[in-house]
Amino acid sequence: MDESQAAPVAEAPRRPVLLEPLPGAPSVIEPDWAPGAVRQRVGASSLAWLVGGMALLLLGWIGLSAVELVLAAFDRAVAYGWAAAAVLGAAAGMIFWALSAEWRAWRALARVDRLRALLEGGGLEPARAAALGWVGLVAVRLRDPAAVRAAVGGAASVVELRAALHLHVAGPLAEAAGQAGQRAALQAGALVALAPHPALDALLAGWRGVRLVREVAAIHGLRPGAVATWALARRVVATAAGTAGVELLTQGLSDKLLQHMPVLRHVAGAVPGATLAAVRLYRLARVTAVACSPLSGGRM
Amino acid sequence: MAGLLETLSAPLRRVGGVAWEAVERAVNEERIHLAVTGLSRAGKTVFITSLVENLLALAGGRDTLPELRARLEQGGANRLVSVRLLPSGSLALPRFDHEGHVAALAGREASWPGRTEDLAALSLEIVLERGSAVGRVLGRRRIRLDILDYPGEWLLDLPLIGMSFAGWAEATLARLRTPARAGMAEGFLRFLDLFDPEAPADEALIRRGHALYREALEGLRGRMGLRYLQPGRFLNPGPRGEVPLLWFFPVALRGSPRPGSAGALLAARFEAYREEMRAGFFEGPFRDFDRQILLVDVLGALHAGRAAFEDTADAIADLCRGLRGAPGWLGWGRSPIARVAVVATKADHVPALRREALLHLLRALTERGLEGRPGGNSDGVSLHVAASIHATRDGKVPLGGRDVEVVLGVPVGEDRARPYFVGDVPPGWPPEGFWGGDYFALPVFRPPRIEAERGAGVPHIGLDGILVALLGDLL
Repeated sequence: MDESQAAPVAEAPRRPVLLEPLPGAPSVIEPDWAPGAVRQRVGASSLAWLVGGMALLLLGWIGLSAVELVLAAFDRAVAYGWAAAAVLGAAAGMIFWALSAEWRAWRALARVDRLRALLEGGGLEPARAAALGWVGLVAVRLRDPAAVRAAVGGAASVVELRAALHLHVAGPLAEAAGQAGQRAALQAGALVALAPHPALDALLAGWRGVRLVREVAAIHGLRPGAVATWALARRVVATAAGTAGVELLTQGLSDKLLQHMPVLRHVAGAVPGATLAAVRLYRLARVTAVACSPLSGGRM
Repeated sequence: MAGLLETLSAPLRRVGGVAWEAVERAVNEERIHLAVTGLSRAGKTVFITSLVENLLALAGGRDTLPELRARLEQGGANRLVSVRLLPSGSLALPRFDHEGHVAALAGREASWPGRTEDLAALSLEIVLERGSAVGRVLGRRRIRLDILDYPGEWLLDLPLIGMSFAGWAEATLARLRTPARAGMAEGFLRFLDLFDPEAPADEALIRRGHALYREALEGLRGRMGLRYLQPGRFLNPGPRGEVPLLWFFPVALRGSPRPGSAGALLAARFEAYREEMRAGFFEGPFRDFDRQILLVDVLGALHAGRAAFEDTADAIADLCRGLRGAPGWLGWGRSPIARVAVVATKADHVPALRREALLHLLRALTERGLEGRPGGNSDGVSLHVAASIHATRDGKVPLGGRDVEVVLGVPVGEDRARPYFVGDVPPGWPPEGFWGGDYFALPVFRPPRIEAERGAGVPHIGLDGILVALLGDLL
């Protein structure tokens, strides 16, 4: 056997031993094992089929009408036909570009999900490849991307790989997400304070919230379009329900935020609703960061 | 014309029905042959029992195999609909007594199942619903999982297929005469000094030699913890028990034995044994299997001392080479086994924080068998640590002036939990300084209470990861 691979033992090896029972030792041992219930996924409902069918009908009608329009234009004059074809082609190109951007955003989200699954219990090499892909997406946010790649490349187990990502990647991203959250909190607080009617508060905070989700996603290497933003927002809600719900109700976070943002403290004194909007957005940034990170239990 | 159509319609409908069924089966039905083996006391029977119980529980809505569930649902690909045990039908092999083993574990005085003495088979049907709308139109996938339980000792006979009696006897005697083994085989070796293979065959003398050789093998297994002992059926004779073709033993021959001599009879019986194992096992049920789990009691081998550990490494190397289809054996040229999971069992004897070291130790142990496969994880071979039934809890107790990580379990035959300190588990091939000290038998802890009714699952460590590694590509 190859002795060069022998593991060093610094001191005399400790031998196995079955010890005597401790005072009050139980007669039955039950391991810590309590499997939860499997969440049943709900399949597509008849409403989904109905909506799908309607959408297909609408798109088909638009597509066929467009072809009809071009053919009719060619019947009137060739030049007119070409002009109609060019206009429709350009419109189709723009739609295609938007759809491909959505598709790329969706794929990026799926890649993060895959890396999360691999880090929770996958093979080392697939996890490493996925981790390197993710590091490439967020490289602009890292101080020394080459060192991060070296650390990921040198990890000998999935546990070490996860630790390397936590150490070198999660920190800078969480910091950037926190800054985005603070900016959004300040803006939302100011906007709510300036809003002419309380009914506008929710609208302003909601609009800023959607922008914030997209900002934090971009920090994590995702560039979500409308569909991916919707998927991400659903995930953020699930994450918040699982991890942040209790903390949202506490006073501690708003105190902390006000302490670090003197401008907001002045606004809060005048308009109490502004504080709540600001705290919610700041919290949203942190929950979104968790939802976007492939590292389970990311820094909150 | 109308009459002709009427005449043809019934057969056409029948043909159409058959064709439709064939297409439906091709699209929706899959069959996986999974063999589970391991060297003696590695825990094959309890492994299969726990695996089946947890699959049934998962289908019943309890998240007993989370990694497998996550793999099934990855990207919304599949949803587990049901798992059921299939009736035996006209199975030619003995049925794995799953219900009996569960009843033993669920009884008031829970006990571990007995050792595997023969082949046993069990079939499950796993029904999955495809996640996509198009997939749902195709129907549900039905995966038939055939599980075969067989003694690992039999697999160690695979190298015998390509050996002559003289070659096998020479290698076996050389191993038996090493200092670590010679003491245990003293009686047999002394017998050989008096045995003349050129003398006329004397049935009584040959049976005496066979009994002494088997005693030596049993001693090496039972008292020294050795595993690389051939022929495998000497230790696990199977359902037919003692048959004359087993009555042989290794003896050095001087050239070709004279017809009618004791040496000629021993060689003939060796040939017959080899032929029976080839036809009855390796080219029989064994040949159909495409997935293999190999269970290894790494801790038991480590605690049994250097000779046992190295012996286990030799056995694992041969098993791995056999499973991966080393050219020359049986003339196969390639193995039909697509994936192999090598599993260090009894991980519940090691505190959670130190199980990574156990995995590294398993890697070192299997290195020779996985030669040319860096990291031991490529080419369809994966390494795992697992406990089929988690019978302990982690804890800390003071030992030698400091707190140490232990596991707490109730030893079989006792009525109070005792802390077990596993000692050093080297994260690689143990260095010279590691060895020393006496043989230490791993304690056997009483299994936890298991709910008798179906669907509760069995506490385990790592079974889901093994299933994902073995079957992930098919799910």
